[in-house]
Amino acid sequence: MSGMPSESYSRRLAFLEGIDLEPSDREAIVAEFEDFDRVLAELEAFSEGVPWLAQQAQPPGPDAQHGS
Amino acid sequence: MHSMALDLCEKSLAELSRLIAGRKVSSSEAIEAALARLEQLEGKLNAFITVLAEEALEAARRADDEIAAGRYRGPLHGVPVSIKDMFEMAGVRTTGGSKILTNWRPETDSALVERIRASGAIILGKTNLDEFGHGGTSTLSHFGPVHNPWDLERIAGGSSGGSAAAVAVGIGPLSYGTETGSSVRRPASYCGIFGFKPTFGIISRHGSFRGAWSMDHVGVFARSVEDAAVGLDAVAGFDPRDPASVRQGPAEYAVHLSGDIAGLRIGVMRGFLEGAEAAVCAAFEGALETLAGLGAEIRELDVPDLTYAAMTSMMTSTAEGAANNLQWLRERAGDFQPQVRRRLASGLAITASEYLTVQRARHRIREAVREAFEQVDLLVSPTTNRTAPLISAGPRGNGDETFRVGHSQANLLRLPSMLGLPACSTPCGVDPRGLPVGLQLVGRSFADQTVLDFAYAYQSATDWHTRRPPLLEGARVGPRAGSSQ
Repeated sequence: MSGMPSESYSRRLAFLEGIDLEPSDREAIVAEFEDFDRVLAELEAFSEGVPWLAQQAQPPGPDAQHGS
Repeated sequence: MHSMALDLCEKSLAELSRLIAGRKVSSSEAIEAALARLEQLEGKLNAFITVLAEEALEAARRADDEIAAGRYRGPLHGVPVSIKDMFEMAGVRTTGGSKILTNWRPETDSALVERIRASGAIILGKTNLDEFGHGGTSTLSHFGPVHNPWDLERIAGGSSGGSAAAVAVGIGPLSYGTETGSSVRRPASYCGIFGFKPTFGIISRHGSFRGAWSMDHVGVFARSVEDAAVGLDAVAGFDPRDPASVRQGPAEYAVHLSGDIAGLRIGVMRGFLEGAEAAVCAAFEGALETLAGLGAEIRELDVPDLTYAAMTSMMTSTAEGAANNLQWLRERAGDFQPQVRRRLASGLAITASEYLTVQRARHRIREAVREAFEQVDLLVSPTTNRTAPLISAGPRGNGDETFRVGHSQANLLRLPSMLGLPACSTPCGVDPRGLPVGLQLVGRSFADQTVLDFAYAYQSATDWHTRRPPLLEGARVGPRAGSSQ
C-alpha cells in the first residue's frame, strides 16, 4: 500500500467515522478498499444489463383477472 | 469399563442409537465415554469453549429413565452431540467466540437447541469457532485456535472448526455448525469427516448469530452420510421465526437414502482447479472414477460466469456482516479479533448502490448455474484447493483467491452458500502427509436428498470416511487408525 489514501479511500473512510480503530486497522482497511474498487469495477461490467430483482406478487390463478 | 468407553466413541450414531434404544448401553455410559475422550484430547484440540459435563450427565440420567419407562423419542435419544457456539442456549454461556459476549447467557433456546432437546439428544458443549463465524480457519477466536486432529500444527478450518474436530475424534458422533461462505464444508474437508449444508431455509436459524442474512445456513457434521441424515431429520423443518424458513413436509432424509446413482449426471469443471495441490487433484480424479464406476455419467462443463462467484460472495458477506455488527463496531470495536474488526469495518464503506451491483452479479451467476443444472444433476469438485495449512500461516493460509476474476477453486467453494444450494464435503483421499482431502457435491435447490444419495453411494464404495486421525492411536481399541477395509 502506498502513500496517503486516495479520494476514493477517503470517501470510504468517512463511513467509518465513530468506529474506534487502531492505526494498523486503517492500513489494513485501506488495502481492502483497493480490492473493493477493483472488484466493483469488474462486477459493474459483469452485471451490466442485469435488472435489479424485485418481489412481484403473482395472481393465484393462471391468468390475471381484470376488473370490469 | 475403559475399553467400553473407548469403543463407544468409535460407534457410529446409528450403532450407538441402536445400543441405547435396546438398553444394551445406557445414555449415561455414552456421555461418560464422550466426556472421557474430551478430557483426553481437548487440551490438544481446543475444540470447545464451554463443556456441559454435569448438565449432560444429568440429561443422560433423565434419558435413561425415559427410555426405561418406554418413552423412547427416536434415534437421537440419549446420544451425545455438540453445537457451535453460535447458537443460543438458555442459561448457558453463548459467546460467538468473541470477547464481546464472554459471559452472556441467553434466556431462551435457539430453534436448533429446541429441536435437539425435543429429539432427546444430549448437548456436550459449545464448540470453538472464528469470531461470529467471520473466518475460514477457526483461529480467530477469543478463546484461542482450534487444532486439527490430523496434525495439531494445522488449522481445523473455519469457521465451524471446533465442531469438525470434535466429531473427527469421536467426542460425540454428531455436531451442528453454521455456514455463510464455506464454514461447514471446509472444516469437514480439513478434518476428514462428512459435512452437509442443506438448501437455504431447511434448518431454522432463529436464535443464532447472523453472519450475512442472505447466506447464513445451519449445517451438520458426522462421520457418515447416514449419521448426518439422522441429525438433519431431527432439526429440519419450518419455523415462522426465521423469515427464510422453508415450508416443507416432515424431514425423512435418512430413511430415503439410496446408493443408486446410475444414470445421474455429474458436472465437472476442471478449469476451476487452478492452483489446486497435486494430491487434491489426484484424489479428485480417483473420486470421479469411483462415481463413474457406480454408474454416474461424468460431463465436462464450463460456466464462465462462475469466475465472479468468489468475489460476489465475499462482497455480499462483507457488506451484510458489517450491517449485522454495526452496534458492536460502534461500541466495542476494540473487543473484536483484529482481523474480524478490519473486515467488518471495511464492509461499512460499501455503499448501497455498490451492494446492489453485487446482487445483480449474484443474479447473473444464479441464472448461469440454473442453466448448468439443466445439463447435470450435481456439480462435483474438490472441496478446497489444498489440505489444511499450518496455523502459523495465519488467516490467509487457506490460499483462497476471492478478490480476483479467474478460475480459482474458491469460486466453487463459495458458490453453494451464496446461492443457497445443498452441498456437502466427504473425505476422498489423503495427501502425502496423511492430511485428508474432501470431495464437494452440490445440487439444485431442494435436491438435498440427491446430494446425500450421491455421498452415500460414494461412501458405500470407499473407506476414506472411516479413517481416523493418528491422534487417536494411543486412545483406540480395535483397528489401527488409517487402515483400509
